[in-house]
Amino acid sequence: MPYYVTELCVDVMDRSCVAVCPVDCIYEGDREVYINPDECIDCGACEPTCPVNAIVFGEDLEEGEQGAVTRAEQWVAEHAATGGAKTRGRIGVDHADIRALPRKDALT
Amino acid sequence: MSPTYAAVIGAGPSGLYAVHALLEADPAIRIDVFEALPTPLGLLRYGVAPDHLKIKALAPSLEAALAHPRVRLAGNVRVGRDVSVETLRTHYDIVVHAFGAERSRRLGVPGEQMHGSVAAADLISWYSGKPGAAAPRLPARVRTAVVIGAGNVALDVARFLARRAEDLRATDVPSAVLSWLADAGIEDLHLVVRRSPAEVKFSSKELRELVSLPGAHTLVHGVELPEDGMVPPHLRRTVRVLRDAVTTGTPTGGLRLHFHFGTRPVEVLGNGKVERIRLAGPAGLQEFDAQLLISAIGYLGTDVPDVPMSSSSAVAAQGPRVVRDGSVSPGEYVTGWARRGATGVLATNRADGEAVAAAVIEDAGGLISRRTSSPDALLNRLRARRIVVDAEGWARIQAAEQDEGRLLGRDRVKIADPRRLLAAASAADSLTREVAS
Repeated sequence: MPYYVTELCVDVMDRSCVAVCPVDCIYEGDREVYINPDECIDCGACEPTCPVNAIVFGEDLEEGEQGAVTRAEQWVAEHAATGGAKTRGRIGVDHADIRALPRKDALT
Repeated sequence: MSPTYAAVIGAGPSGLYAVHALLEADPAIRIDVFEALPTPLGLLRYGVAPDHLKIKALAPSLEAALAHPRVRLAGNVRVGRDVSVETLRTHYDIVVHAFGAERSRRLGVPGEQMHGSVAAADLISWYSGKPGAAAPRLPARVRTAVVIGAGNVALDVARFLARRAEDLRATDVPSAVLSWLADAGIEDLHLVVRRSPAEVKFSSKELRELVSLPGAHTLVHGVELPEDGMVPPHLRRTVRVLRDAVTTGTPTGGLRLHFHFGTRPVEVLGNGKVERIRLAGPAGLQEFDAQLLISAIGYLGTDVPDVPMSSSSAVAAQGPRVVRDGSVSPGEYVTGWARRGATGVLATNRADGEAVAAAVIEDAGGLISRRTSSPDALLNRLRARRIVVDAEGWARIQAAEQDEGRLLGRDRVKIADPRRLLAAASAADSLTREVAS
């Protein structure tokens, strides 16, 4: 089971994870990133780089976090986010569930 | 202008990521990769747990570097034994140390040299089919096994011991390993962790893989598992996995996994072979019967003559640049475990390799090369003395391993005998010779 990005990423989007992914499978939306679950190889490189602990191994997702799975699957399919994030570039649009979230207050 | 010639020492993940980065940074560079074993890929082939198949998917992209027209593999050449670092430095403009960390850290307790006490690296080398790895001194029957350590290596080893042989048949582990595992009959597996549950080094994923094995019962000794608030955020899920896994009541059948936190080994007791283990924990001393002890408390640096070390595990360096006698050594770089010590995951080496390439480019203008002779001359001298495995030889080894797997009804079986590997690597050559004679 792959790793997923939980809502903790939203409006933080630090992107340290993108830089360390050996298969370049972390794609950039607008307010958060998405891991392509079919391309992820479970290596775990991204997990400790996240400053807000947003990246979670699939089986460790709590009940309230299962949305991360459907979001990743639907978003990847909708935007054809495959073949390498570097090649694909910034996609710049989020899953509808994320778009519906209120902006987190900017850190001052 | 002559291209830059680079020697990379080690064809494991750190060496191959460095090759990728150097090729990208310098479109004219020529690279020879020296590897002590007859086969490349290092810990990806001889370290990543056999059941972590998805990570092994990195192999094709990593080894693609070896098929590049400006890259040559020189396998079966151990730098420091077959050729010195100094010789490399006079045949190449740049030398990159990527030789990892091969030696195991010892426990330092009385009795640890006894039969049945094994370093994790030796067990892993054996079950990964590493060429030339001596079979560890394992008892044929093991009712109780003890693993010392709190990192992902400790969990890899524990998971291997906790598995049933048939679960591993789909992997490429050697057949002798499967038979040992099938016969050992482990009933109790103790994990001895010096740290508290709120300080462990292993990931929730690795822990979950262990505690959720079919038939496994989890017991935690010595401490209460802390509430979320007492645990740093990045470890909360790890502790939750453990909390959810703990078996209530007295488990019968299957395999019992015992976690001992805040506990360290004090002594191994027995008459030449491991019979009992004495531990010191929160509740004082305790002792129980055990037949196998695995220490998984870390790795020390590879011992390469004429390479300056800054500690027991890492080469003396400033960032990616090697330091000799207090100053940066021109044209000499280091990456991977040789630079960082044994930390990080496989992919951490990518950024390390890129740091080497960036430094090489930055230093290129001022580099006064010590190269006085050609890499070809060196490789020819080596080939006259021993079999040097190149990319074609490696391809022949892989074909031979697939043939062997087909005979046994498995996808691929690793060849662990170095002589057979070298025979497979040079098969076409000897055929040509036979035809010619």
